[in-house]
Amino acid sequence: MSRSTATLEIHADTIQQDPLISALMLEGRFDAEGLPLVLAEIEKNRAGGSIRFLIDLENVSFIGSAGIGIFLSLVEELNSDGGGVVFLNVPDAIKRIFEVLNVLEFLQIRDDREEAIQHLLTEETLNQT
Amino acid sequence: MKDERGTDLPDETATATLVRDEAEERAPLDLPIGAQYEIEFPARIEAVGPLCAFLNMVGDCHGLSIQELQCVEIAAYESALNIIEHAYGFDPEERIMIRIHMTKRRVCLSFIDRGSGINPEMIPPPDVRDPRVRRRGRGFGLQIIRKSMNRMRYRRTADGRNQLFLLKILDRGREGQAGVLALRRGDVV
Repeated sequence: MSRSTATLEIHADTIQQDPLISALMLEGRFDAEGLPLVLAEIEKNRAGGSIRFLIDLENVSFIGSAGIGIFLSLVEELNSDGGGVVFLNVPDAIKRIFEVLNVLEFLQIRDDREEAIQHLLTEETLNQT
Repeated sequence: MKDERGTDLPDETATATLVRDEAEERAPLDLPIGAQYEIEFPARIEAVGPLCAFLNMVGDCHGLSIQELQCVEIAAYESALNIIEHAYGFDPEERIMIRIHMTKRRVCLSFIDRGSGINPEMIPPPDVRDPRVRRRGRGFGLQIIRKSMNRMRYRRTADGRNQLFLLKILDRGREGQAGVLALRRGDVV
C-alpha cells in the first residue's frame, strides 16, 4: 500500500516472518509537508499492534529535524514497549545528520534487509532499552 | 512563478532579485561568481521546499560540492521553519526575506523577519543522552544549523526585525573536482 504527498511517498508492507513487523519504505523529501503522512502511517501500524518497525530510507533525499525527531521518539516509545526500530539503507547525508546530533548510538542501522529483519526478530531486540 | 532564469520560486507572490554582481567574470551557466540575491516569500511551510530548490540551483551553479549544498539546504530549511513556527506562530500572512551572498569561498545567508525575537545563540544544544529529550523529538533544528554552517549570528534591528546570519566557508581544496559547474575562472571573493 502506498500513500504520498507532493514530496514524499510511503510504501507500507508486512514481513513474512512476522506480520507484526511493519516495513515502511520512504521515498522523496521527508520535510515538514511529509510529517503528517509519516505520523499517520506509524499510528495506523501501532494501532494494528505493531511494535517493531523496519524503516527503509534508501530513497530519501532529504530529512529535516522534525523527521529525525519523529524517528527518535518512535525508537524510545517502542523500546519502552518491548519492540524496536531498525533503519535500513540510510544514505550518508542522513547518517551525517544523525552524527552531528550525536544520536547514532541510539539507533539500529543496517544495510542488509535480512539482517535487519533478524535483528527485529531476536529476543535481544525485544528486551533492549 | 519563475525568476529570469526560469527557476521555480516559492510561490506566485515570491520574488528573487539579483541585487549585486561583484564580478565581471561569470561562472558556468552565466551566473555571476560573487552575487547577492534577495528572496522574499510567504511564511508558509509549502514555500520552504521551493526555497531549498532555488538555493540548490544557485549553489550548484556556483560550484558547491554536494555536501556543501546539503549543508546549506538543511540550514536554510531549518532556519525558515523556525521563523514560520516560532517567530510567526504559523501566521501565513507574514513574510520572510532571505539574502543569499555566494562568492568563490563562502556562502552567506541572512534571514530577516518581523516576528517575535528569540536569540538562537542563547539556546543550548539538546541533551540527547536524556531519553526524555529523545522521546520529545523536538529541538534539533538549531543544532543542525550550528553544525551545518561555520558561523551563526543573530541580532535584533533597531526597527524590531530579526536578522539571522549564517556563514558557510567553502572547501576550495577540491576545486576542479566539482564537475562541470565548478568555478574555473576569476579570483573574486
